[in-house]
Amino acid sequence: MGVQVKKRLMLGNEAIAWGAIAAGIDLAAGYPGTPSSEVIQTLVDLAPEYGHYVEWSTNEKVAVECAAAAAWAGLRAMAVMKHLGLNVAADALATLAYTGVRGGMVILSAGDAQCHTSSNEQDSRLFARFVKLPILDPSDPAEGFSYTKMAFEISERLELPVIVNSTPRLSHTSQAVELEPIERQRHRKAQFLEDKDRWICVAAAALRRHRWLNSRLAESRARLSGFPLVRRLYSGRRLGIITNGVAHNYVLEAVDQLGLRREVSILKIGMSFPFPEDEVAAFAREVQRILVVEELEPFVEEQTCLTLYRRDIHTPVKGKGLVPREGELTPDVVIAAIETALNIKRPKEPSETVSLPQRPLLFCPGCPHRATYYALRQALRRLSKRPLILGDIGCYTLATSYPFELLDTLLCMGSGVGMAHGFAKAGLDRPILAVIGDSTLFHSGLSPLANITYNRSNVTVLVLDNSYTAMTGAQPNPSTGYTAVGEEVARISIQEVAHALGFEYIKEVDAYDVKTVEEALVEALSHVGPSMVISRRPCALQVQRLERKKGISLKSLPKVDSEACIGCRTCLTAFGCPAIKWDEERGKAFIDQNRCTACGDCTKVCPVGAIKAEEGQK
Amino acid sequence: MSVTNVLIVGVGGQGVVSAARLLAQAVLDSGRKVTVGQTFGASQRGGSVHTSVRIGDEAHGPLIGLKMADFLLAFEPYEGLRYLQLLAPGSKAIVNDQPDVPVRDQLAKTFPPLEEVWQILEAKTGKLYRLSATSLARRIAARHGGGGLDITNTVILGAATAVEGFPADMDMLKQIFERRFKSKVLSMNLEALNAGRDWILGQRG
Repeated sequence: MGVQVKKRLMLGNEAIAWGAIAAGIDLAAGYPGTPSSEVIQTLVDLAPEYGHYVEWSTNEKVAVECAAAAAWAGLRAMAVMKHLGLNVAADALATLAYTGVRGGMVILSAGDAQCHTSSNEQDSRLFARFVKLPILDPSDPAEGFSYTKMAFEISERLELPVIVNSTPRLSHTSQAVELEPIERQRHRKAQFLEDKDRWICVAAAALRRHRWLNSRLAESRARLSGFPLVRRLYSGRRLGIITNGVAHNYVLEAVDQLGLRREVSILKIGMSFPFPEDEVAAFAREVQRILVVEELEPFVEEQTCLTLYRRDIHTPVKGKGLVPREGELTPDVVIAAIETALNIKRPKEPSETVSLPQRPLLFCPGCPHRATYYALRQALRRLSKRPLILGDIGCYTLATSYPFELLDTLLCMGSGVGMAHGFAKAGLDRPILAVIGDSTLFHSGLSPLANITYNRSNVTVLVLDNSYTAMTGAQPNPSTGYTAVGEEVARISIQEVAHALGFEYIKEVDAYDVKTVEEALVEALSHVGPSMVISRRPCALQVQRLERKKGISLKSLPKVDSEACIGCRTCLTAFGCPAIKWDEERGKAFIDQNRCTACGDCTKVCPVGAIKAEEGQK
Repeated sequence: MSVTNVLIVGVGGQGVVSAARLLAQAVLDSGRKVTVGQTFGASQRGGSVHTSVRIGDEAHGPLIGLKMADFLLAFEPYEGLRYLQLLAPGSKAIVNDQPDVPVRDQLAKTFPPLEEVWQILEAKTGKLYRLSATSLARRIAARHGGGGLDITNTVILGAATAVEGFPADMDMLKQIFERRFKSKVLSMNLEALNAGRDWILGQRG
């Protein structure tokens, strides 16, 4: 049955998911991470209609292994993650390049030039070359669709997994995308074809596969002739601009703004590894000089230089130096680079900026993390030494800034627990506390937890279990109780996990019960040996969403008794709920009824009891 | 070059992203190319949110360059000021007059007085409309029994349709709202659209 879908406005991530649907995807697995998360969510929404299997895996390596198994069994499969997830999956990917795949396998990696929501902005193209896998770089949502579809075909043509490289400016840009008529396909049947020389990749077999991989990469361009992987625009000779990924859009606009269509030629590279040497060499012969405009590392630039050197072509090449190597590109940066490359001098008007402080990112009204951190701060006052507090990746990282300012470190997923052990073994003369959320714990916290008990360190772990992967949009995880497609499953109890791993002091508490959380933290931090406090409460935002869906109206809200309020601002500066506001004229706090979620925590915070829950609230 | 750039800014939770999507859909339905760029992540956490709606065949990327925004719809005045460097000479701005200063900055007095915001925006835009969108929205929502719903974004979109050169007119927007919403929520939003438009028309005299 053919399903016709008309041209509609969609996010780059939705377009990528539709590309997989158009390729007849059988299985998709991913771990949430901005800016990639809407890809799996879209595939979840489309699963009932198209019949593919889709899951939120516990981490990116598991997702890649899940998709790789399906692809070994001949299915079309996709693994979805943010760029940092590639590092987690690297062990699997690097050898997967040797074994190759039978069914098409695509890895969607959404990068983060500018570190909008990430701890680094590593360039996935370098990663692709490092693990020796082809990488496609779509530049807009329409290409998000067509390149993802094409990636499955390329993967089967080369028998290699293919990486599709997105960025925030593709994943989170909306455009009208024309979906060609999509046939609902019959899904393939999994079949394992025994081949010990291939699927047991070790020693001599691995060496043979490495030779296979190298020859496959060397002949890849020939095998892929006919795929639209390089595009030429305009035919000016003064400057040849080589573009890749989202940078292409800025170049198109800059050329128009500068009125240079007759002066320049553009070569858009759609697959940056393996590199299109022939096309680049031909292009270089036709232009007087080359400017490479690409985000982040000089990946295309260096390969261009190498290509020209090997072929004895002397066209000068510029790139980084005119185009920044850090952060994302903007139209203005690209305009300036082209002007410099062509020695165009334009009077520059100074642009006007105002300096306004960045708004603090705060925990949402009703957020259980705020209650836990408030309790932690109370607990710290009772300890003789302030612990070193190691952060991790998730909503709870917001405790680094106003008003809590509690966390001392942040590195990567699961690192808080791993480094806590290291600080203890290094002999730091302070108590050591690692904070971690439920999703991050299942992602990469389990092995470091085992390391703490196995190698015996005096560390306290505070698990902020809000039952969802909240930072990226409340995706379900093993602590939630249902799967990506809403199937009910047993929650994995973190308490029981800790018990099985040999933690000695374990206490599970209700995050809203701030006094009990405080007591538990004092006890845990005073305990000699591995200890854990699990502070539980579902994400308030998600609770609100679910209640709205069910049509449950809000509970009655707390109010500030302005007679009783002494204007001490504890509720503002020590608790910092965005629903509590300050009336400057009266010198009193008040509650914004539109934002309050009726969690009632603030009633426990006010030192004079001026914030009161109305009757009927629990 | 026939590109129109609309910059929509505000604070997380004010419906900036929804407004941009509704406007973009209206423009798309009228047969023009549209590109929407949006910042995610801070939307629920009180951060600055800005989206760009770019209209025209030659608008390729999602970002609006320096001095390129033809229209500014600011759901909060300080956020309007924050993107000053993007405003084109002669740009038209509709700015909600209800400030939302974070408590931290209110106590530390790090934001300039509101009067300064108006002075700068007045000087740097071709035409500035200071619209009491929040209070209009509250009154309309209360009349329709939707007390908790914030329809400030709809009031401002309605207002924009009455500004000369804006890329979507009232009929186009109404069609989108009629497809998206039902019964009470729809009639409330339609009233908000009209209220915004009528306020601008009243300003013109």
